[in-house]
Amino acid sequence: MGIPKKGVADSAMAEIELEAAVEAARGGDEMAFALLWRENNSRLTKFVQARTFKSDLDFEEIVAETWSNVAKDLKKFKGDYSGFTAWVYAIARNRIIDASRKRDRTIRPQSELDEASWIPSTQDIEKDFEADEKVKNIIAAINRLPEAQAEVLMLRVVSDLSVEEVAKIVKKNANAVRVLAHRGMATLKEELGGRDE
Amino acid sequence: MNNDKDFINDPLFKDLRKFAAKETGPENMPAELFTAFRNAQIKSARNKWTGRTVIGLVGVAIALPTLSYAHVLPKPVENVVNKVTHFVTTPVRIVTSVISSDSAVTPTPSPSNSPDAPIPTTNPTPPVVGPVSPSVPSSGEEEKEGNVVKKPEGHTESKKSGQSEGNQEKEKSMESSDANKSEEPEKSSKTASAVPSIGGPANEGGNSESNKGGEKGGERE
Repeated sequence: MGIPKKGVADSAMAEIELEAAVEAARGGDEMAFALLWRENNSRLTKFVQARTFKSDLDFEEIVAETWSNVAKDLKKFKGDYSGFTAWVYAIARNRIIDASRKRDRTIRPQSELDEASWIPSTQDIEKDFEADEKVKNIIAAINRLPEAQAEVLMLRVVSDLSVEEVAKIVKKNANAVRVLAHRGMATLKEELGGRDE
Repeated sequence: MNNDKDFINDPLFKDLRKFAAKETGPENMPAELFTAFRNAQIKSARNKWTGRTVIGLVGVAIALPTLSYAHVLPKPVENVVNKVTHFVTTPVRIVTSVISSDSAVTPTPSPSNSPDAPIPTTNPTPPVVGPVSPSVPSSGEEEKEGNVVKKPEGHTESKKSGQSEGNQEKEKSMESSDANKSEEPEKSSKTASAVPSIGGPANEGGNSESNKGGEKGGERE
């Protein structure tokens, strides 16, 4: 499932704890909200980082906006921990889409475009990836896939979400998500396998 | 489901999974997020109570005048509610009266106001009391006032039955009284055309005959 496999979250006890944390956070418990944030922030950040790779979008800003929206609308959320995770990723996904649309609308001077404004972002990601060429290559290859396939692969692999959770986020049924993921993987294998050879 | 696990554990994604599992970023939630969470809680609580208060006030505003109208409330409360209702509705009433008076003053194009239409008389003709016109039968119509038809007291039957009974009564009275009063000959002469004659030589043979009969009756007196 979407529960990060570390610390207390390993066991079923932790799952129950997280379920209770969702309820408590909805009731206004700050510590419960902090626990949910700790459990999800790292993978969420990596997901946004990978999705905005080689673009000039500020992934940290998107993550911050996502959590701000979560904090604001948590009272309206209804569901369990799995639903909460899906909800958080759905907000992040929407923020990425909004940010890229906003960027497309903004008219920038040609000189700025020539300077390749996505370079700082690449530098950031290089720092985070610890200059791991393989990871960079695979993320770049995933981002070259069709939008839906790339999104599903990122959510499945980077965010470690189940097929059902991904289906909720991308608003498709589970089988469609499976098909997209397998097609994406087949394309990736072709591309990366060909390169390796 | 096994396929899903195989998919995730595919060696293609091994490095990516390692990268994703690595813990990065701050350990503790940023203070700004704490503040945002706190503010959101306060705001949602405020919104909740504001909404409830507004709904409650609307409910009271609807319920109180209704209860007052039904005389369910205690007298003092009812008076207060009535005063408030009056105070609130007075401007509306004034506006309504102004609008209605305006519409009364402005001439409305209707057939009665057209120059070709006959001028209505200020004093409508009073209802005819006395001899009933021969074409319209009936005792029930004696009680007509204007356009309103008042049924005679005690009469629960339909208009038609009332009319026929009235005719029968008249005929009987004609037979029994034998034209004692001075008016009766005229009456009988007028009603003769409408009412079929029951018998007697005076009433036989149409209008002229009946007139003659009436005259005869008058002569008898």
